[in-house]
Amino acid sequence: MSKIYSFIIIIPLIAMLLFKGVFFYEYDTKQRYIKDLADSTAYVVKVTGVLSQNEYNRLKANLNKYRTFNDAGIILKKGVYIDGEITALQPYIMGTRLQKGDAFVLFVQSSNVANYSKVENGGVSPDDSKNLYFKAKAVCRVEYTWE
Amino acid sequence: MGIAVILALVIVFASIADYALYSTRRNLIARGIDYAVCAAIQEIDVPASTEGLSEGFDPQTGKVLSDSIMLNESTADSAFFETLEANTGIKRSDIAMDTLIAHICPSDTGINYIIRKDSQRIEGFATSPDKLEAAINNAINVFWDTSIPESDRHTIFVTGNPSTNEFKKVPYFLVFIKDHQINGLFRKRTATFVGFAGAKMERAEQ
Repeated sequence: MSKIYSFIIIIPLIAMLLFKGVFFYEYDTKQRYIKDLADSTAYVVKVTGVLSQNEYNRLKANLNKYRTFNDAGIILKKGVYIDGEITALQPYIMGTRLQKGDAFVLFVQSSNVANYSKVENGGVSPDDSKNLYFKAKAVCRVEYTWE
Repeated sequence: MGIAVILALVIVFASIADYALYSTRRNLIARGIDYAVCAAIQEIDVPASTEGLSEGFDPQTGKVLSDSIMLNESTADSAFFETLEANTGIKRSDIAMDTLIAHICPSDTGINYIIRKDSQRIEGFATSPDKLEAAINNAINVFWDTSIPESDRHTIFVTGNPSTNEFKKVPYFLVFIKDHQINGLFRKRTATFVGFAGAKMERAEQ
């Protein structure tokens, strides 16, 4: 009887916990890598004032190692600081040279939901607010520009 | 026995998730502070710095001069908190009470500093950059009750050993955020952060 009890309840429960643990670990680790990629790209803009097509392609290629990121999921904006507030945010066009003191915003979001989210919701939830995507944001102020 | 194993596993997984959430949030804040201090240091008070900005170079050594260049207190603070919020989502009102801000402005005889936390304020003068570490640590001990044993680390080391960054004689914007509460999945922990940026001085080449 005790063997049946362990096979029916305990082993599936332990398996489920392990399963969740593995997917949570995957989500957490990839999320950190993605934030690192967003930060290193923002850092390039911070010290050069420009995001080149090559740098963008490198970011996109690296992001796609972890999950699918398409162009719509990589949002670039520029703005200016007025009295310490970021204002006049508008889309950043690749290769535009920013001025020293300008703001640069990078936001990335995967086009499909994380595996951990699927495990938690039993698939992709119809209510999108319950779905977990890989996301990262970096906002910096340009420190140097090249002549 | 089986239930005990499951309970132990649940506790282990929940603790891992709890710490992962805490460390992610802590790292986000640490990076946000880096972006934010670099944004704040660019808020130069141009009218107050006219003399400093117009001096240019030392005629004897050719060195770029950075004396008498002041930061604008209110816009530098705004730039700091705005950039921090943009990166981390933490509002100024949630973190301002835990934040000490130091503005450091060199003059021809030494270094003027203003250290503030909320409405408290200390203004002072140091004869050389290596005296700033003691001034900031004194201010920390004035602004917080650091005698509590549970209190997080409350001493900053700037010139403590050769591998730490030293202050140079340029304007700085320094923040020290002490015992900021970060919520994990179910536990609440605190963390302390230090970040500073020096003005990136350059003169146009004509």
